[in-house]
Amino acid sequence: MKAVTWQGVGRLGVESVPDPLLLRPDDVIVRTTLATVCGSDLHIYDGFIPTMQHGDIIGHEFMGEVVEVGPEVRHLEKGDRVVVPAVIACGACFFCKKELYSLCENTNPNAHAAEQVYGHSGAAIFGYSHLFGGYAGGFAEYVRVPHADVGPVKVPEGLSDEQVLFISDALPTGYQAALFAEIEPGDTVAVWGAGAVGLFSMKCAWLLGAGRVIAIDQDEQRLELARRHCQAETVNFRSLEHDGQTIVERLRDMTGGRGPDRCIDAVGMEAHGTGFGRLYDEIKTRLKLESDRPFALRQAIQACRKGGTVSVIGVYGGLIDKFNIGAAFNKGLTLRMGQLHAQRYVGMLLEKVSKGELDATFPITHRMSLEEAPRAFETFKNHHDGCCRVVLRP
Amino acid sequence: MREELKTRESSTNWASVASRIAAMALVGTAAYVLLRKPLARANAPVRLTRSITVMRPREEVYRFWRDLSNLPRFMEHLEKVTVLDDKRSRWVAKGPAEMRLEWEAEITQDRPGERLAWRSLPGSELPNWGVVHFQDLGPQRGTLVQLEMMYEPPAGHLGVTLAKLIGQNPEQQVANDLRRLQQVLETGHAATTEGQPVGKGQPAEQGRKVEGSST
Repeated sequence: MKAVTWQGVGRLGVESVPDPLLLRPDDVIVRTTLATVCGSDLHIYDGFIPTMQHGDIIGHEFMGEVVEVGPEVRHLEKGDRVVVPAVIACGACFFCKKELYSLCENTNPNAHAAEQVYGHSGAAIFGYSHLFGGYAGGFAEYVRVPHADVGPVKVPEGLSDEQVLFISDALPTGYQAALFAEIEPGDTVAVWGAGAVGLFSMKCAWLLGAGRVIAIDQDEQRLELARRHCQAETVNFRSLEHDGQTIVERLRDMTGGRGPDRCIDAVGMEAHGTGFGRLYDEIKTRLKLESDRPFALRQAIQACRKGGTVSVIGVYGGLIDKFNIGAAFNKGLTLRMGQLHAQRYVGMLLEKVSKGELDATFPITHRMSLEEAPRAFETFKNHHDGCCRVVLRP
Repeated sequence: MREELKTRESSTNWASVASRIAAMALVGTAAYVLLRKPLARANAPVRLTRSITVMRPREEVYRFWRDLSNLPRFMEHLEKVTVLDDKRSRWVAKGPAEMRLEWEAEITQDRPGERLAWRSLPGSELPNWGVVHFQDLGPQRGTLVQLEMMYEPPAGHLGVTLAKLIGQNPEQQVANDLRRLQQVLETGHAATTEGQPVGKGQPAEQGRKVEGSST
């Protein structure tokens, strides 16, 4: 089969590899029908995620048709159309039983490595480095999906692939971000990052009772998506710079001095900041004294109103620096964060999509074939041609 | 295929992973490892303890362990354990290059559902003994499994083989074994990616360099 493989920082291969096999009796094989490049794929592409190996098949946001079924699988059969959650969970461990699926104990064969780095290991993620299990990912014609009764959800007839694809990752991630923000009715919710996850968290913030949504980004075309599809007010931090105002000042002015009640960091470790802070992080990450650039997170903590919540959904992998714990402490902030507990939300979100209550197609700006993955990554990374999300069809 | 995968796995340098993520913290860790290394010299008895929590009833966890033929399902370096009678068993451990270590063991204490102890019989290629405790942690909290093992590394050639067999880090081995026990009991199988497809492990300069301006 054809598959997209990681071949070093900024290098991808499209090559022929053996078809996947059922390796455990509760596996299925899915023939991929649609996949999408996620911001965290860029972290891999740019070399921010350690333990990638040359030849690893990448991709974690995908869907397809079940073509082979292991003997212990009960809820899926050949021919089912399914969306596959990016996170692999067993459904049986202490954490899965608490619906903390991304903390699953039983799916990462390299848990010892994650323990060295994080103290404990979380769940495996498709195509997301050996630290997260080393599972072959979804940018391939076929994918082995373990614990098939726990993850994949069947797609009802009448829904297109594009309508449901983001249920694999971006949509539930946006939902979790809004949920973790602990929104109370009428709250002002500020979202850093207007990529697909940020945009979905804006939509979900409205569902959870927000009174106002503010989007912060530097890409005017993405901010236009936020205005048009998510009814968000927008702040372009590039143009703010020209006005000599900081984001924190602007948000304070927009909220009568109080600051947004809830702040969502949907940017994560590769934030594009401005000014001195950006330079500082750039130098420290180059010197490997800091692994992540926490620009959005710092601003969110500074901007958030007293007693508010900062919800972190943009991915972080390691150490950060100049983290204003004093601001977080003295303002009595709540910080919530974590990888996506996908399995907890997929059913509910599929229902909302099928009832027409949620449109999850609007971030798709580009459609390409699997062979075009290298070009897809560059287009997505550089926001070429107004790119918000690329979908890949094998 | 399998061999190739193994090689790829073992080529991952986990220490360098940690250092990339926690460069400064590693200095302390390195000092710690260096300081404690002399303690693990050959021939000194090695004592290993580790515990894990399994979300299955205590009786079930005990029964699984009491059937010693199950041990190779989660203890990576065991090839086979043959139960000879109610007390005695024969253990075969696998090493590099088709090497095998064999010994017979007997159960020295058996308190059903609570505690199981064993030791190797005289003449063992690897004198060892161990005890495992099982304890309820309360509703929805699972069973605590506490393992304590000791072994005496033999001198000379066998000792070298054993070092290769158990690896640089026996504590890690025991931790991994118990994690596999948890996976087998909670999900029926240990997690694996062995046998999955993988692309060519080209060196970076042969990879396809993606050019920037493509739209």
